[in-house]
Amino acid sequence: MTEPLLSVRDLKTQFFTEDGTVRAVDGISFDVYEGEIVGLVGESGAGKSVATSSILRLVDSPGEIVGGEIEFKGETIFGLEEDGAGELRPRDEMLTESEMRKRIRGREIAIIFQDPMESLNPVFTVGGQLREFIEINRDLDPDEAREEAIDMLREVGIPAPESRYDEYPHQFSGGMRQRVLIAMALACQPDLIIADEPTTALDVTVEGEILEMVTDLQEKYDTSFIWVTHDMSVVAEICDRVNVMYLGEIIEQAEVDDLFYDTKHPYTSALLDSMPRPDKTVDELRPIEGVMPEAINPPSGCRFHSRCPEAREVCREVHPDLRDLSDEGAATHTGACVKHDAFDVGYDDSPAIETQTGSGFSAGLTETGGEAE
Amino acid sequence: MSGVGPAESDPDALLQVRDLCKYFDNDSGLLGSVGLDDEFPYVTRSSSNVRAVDGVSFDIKEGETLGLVGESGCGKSTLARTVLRLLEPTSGSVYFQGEDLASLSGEPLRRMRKDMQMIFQDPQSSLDPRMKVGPIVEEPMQAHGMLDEEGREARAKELLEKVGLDPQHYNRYPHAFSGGQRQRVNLARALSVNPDFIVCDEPVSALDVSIQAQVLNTMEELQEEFDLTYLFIAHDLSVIRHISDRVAVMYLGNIVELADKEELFENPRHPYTRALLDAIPVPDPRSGGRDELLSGDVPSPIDPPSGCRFRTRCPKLIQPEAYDMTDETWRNVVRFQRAVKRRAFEETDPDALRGRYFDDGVPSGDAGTLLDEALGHIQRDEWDDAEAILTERFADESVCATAKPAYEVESALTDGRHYAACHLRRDEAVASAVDESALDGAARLGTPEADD
Amino acid sequence: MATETDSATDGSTDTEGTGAGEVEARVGLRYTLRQVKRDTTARIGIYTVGFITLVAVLGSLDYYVFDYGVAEAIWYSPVQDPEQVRRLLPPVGMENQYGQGTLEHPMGTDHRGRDILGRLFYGTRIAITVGFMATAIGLVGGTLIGAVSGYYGGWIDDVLQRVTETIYAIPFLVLVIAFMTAFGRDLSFAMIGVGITSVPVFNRLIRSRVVSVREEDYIEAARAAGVKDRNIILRHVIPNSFAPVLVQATLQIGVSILIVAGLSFLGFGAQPPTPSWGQMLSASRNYMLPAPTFSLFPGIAILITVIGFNILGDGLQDALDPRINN
Repeated sequence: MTEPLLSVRDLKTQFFTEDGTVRAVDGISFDVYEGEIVGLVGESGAGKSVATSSILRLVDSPGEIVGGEIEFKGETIFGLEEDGAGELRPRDEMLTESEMRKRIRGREIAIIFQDPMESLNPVFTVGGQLREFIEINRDLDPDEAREEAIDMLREVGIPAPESRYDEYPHQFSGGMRQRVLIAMALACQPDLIIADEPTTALDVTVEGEILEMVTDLQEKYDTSFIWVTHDMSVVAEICDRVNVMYLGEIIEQAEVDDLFYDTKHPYTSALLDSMPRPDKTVDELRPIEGVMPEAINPPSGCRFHSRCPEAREVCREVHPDLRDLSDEGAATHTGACVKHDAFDVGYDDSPAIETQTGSGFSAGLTETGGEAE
Repeated sequence: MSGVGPAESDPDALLQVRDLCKYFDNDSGLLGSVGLDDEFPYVTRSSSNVRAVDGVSFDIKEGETLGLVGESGCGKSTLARTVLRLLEPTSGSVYFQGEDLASLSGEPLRRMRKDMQMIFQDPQSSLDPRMKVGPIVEEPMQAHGMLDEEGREARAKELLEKVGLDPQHYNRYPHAFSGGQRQRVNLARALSVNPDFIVCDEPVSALDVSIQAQVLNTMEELQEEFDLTYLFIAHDLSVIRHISDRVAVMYLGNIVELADKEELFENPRHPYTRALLDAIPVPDPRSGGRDELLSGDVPSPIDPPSGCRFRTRCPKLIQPEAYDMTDETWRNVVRFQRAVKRRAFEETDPDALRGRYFDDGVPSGDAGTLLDEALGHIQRDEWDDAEAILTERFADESVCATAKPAYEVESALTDGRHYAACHLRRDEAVASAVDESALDGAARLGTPEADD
Repeated sequence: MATETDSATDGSTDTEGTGAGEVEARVGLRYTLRQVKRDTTARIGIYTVGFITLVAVLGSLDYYVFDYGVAEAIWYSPVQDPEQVRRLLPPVGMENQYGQGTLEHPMGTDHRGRDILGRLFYGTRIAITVGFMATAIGLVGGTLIGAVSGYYGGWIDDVLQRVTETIYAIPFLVLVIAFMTAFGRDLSFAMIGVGITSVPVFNRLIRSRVVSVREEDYIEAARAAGVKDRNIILRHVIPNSFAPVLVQATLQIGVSILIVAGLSFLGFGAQPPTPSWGQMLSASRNYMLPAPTFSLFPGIAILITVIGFNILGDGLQDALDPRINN
């Protein structure tokens, strides 16, 4: 079994606020192998963006990574150990902040954000920004970097790259800007690209183009991707394996076909059932009742039990971890739901519980207001 | 007035839009339209318009949901606001419940608003952050003098409950609610004056998928209970497919196709609709990939293409009658023309280009000569000339450029009418209203040639 | 470990479950006051302004109700007997060429033998009234013009803005003095004149906020609902544009007091014998060397008042800034 490119083990990131501790990421584990696209799926508030920021150690106060391990290509991006007094402190082999900045961020692991207008500086030319990025991260001199930049622009499908090199972000359309960001991410030939909802703000036809382009580029350069999204259709289109997140935890992990055709966790099923589809008319949408609770005070036991159509008494008490539910010889398919036999907690004998009915009635009235991520 | 095309002149229609146009003045400031010139008097005045909505006609029947779908920049939001006269139409008419809204102004127009309401996209900015939710819901009632203070409060609480919120939250501020709940407040507010017609401008686009489903279900329940008519605008075809009875597809200020929902999705007759449907990612890992991607960017609405506006990106552009190429060769010519226009390549050697774009064979006859000329220009780095030849002699001579299409075709799956603005349908059309004077760009549907 | 609370069963973070009680509103007077209380600067500002306003109120009470009776009884005794006049005395504990300071006149006396503390006390009333009234005029006028201008745009905007810019272009002191020369040198005209010159400031503030608020969806929603323009402006536009204006208003009060003091100093404004700080300063000019303490106290009074309002304005700004509150 080959070593994974990126290995995340039991990652915990918390935010210490006046109102309490927000357990935004509460013990997630997943791997990314070379050349694959791994999806990280979840709704607002699930903790996906915090997870990806944590991987790059970009979490700022009041947030802090409080536990877990992150290994990348054999190096430790994050890891704690106990010192003499029993306190936790960073391990010696953990990369320093400057090492992270110089070697990892932008160079070995790149990140693409959702809104290209916010990631590109409006007062500098697009080509200039791209060239600067290349100069810093690849030790090329300005002229070489410029050539490289023009090549990258061409690579991502921007026509007449030499003249567009001197244009400003506002002269590009949304899809073009996103291509520029992808060019910036690819320019430094990273092994891993984290894409945080890059197509959410784009029109469907443009999104389609970008997704096609990304799969082509991925084949060509063998880059791995972590693709963060809330859109299951995008997942179906480009991901190889998928992690489904709910309230700070990964509750299902599978290859993409298994996830859609052999769903193991009720949340994933409910999500798929609640979506209208473009290819067939869905007569009745079945929404998931209620709203995702706040990460400050998650429900007891299984975090989804309050909204789960298949919840039983035992779900309130037992907190399921992620266990392998796949058949012999089949690809790994893990899920965190006690209804499966791998958990021996007496699910079948346990009585069903009443979950919220009514769409959003009083439940989910948040204190700090609105969707939080 | 009987019209061919999406306007059916059904006297029972709640809303009838006819040739609606909304142009925005592109010049700003006092001297914005002034330019410099070489000759006396050395100064020119021009004005450019953004033609956001350019000759749109359709009907909406009582009780139905018309879905309006299109990408960003197609003009759907502008259309919605112009229909409600939140923006002043440049020309055209909107008949609501038989009355021409354009003839109303001031107080009568304001009172009309009781019957037609709007729900906005962003749940956050559509509620005044400084007003409590109860008064927000009451405000339209107050504006139209409905009930008295107690009555309004009672009705507001009733409405909050109807849309799935706790009436006890009457006194809370908007920020205390989640996005989905804020949209429900919007619904309650719109319903407070008992409207007949509600325009929904992307009401669920900003919400998470599972919340979307909740809100859509609520909207459908309310439609049944209160006998509402919806104009539902969205860019998400899945949502449109779920909630609409009929669907209109908009591109660059025009409606390019309008049909019953099943008909449109299963039997699209316009290349843009096809491309749109093809482009959407489907939540099914086993579904196939895409057939053909749309090339290029959406043209500017200031100077839109003549004739059919989609022709600059259409994979099915019709060959001009002057030439006699095979389909493949013609497609190659078009691809080549568009590549030159976008400067998508740097190669200048004619043979290499022929190999790359015309490996099935180059065109012969007049077409061949023109192509050689263009290649010659490219070889000499005269890109503009090459582009001019290719564009003017090929793309611009197509019927797609010279005449604005407007056809009605047979519905294959349903009883309703099927309108498609594409010249490919000219032979199978049951009715047409093609405007040959389309070259000046301000096209309208002309006088009908056939009856309905 | 997940915690077992009542809220766990239905999964929502109910307010009861976490004991937070009523959901905190982020708007409104109560919330603003709460925020202000948290900020030390703001608190100092409030206490200072509060104290000064209290003095002004007491002074008004005394003036209108008791006709100077109370203060007269304490220290502001108009002198009957010319022989008894003690001019230009220094504060208690000090000595100058005119004599020894006594407790009878804790801050000393002015050039006419009147008690400085007493005059200061009454001057507060004038200062505060002037400050508030002038600012009120500017605020109301500027808000109306700015709101209408910003909401409607077009030629209304053009005309109104050109008018206010004209006012703005003329140096305000010149404008006020010209105004007072034309209408009268009295304090009330000083107030009105200063008020008018502050209209452009408020107008600008409100107008720029209105221009952005006007594009918000909830304004369009109100229009779509059929709410009358007048009500949209009053109920939606102005409340949402008001925060920066409030801050400017507190600052403007201090500024107005300063300007009117300056005018009084120049002879426009409070005419003798009205006790106004500016006027007192003006009178003290001639006695700077022999009795420097005369000018000290009115000067300090003005200083503290203006700084107090400035600090309050600062504090309010922080309290009203939604970004900081997140």
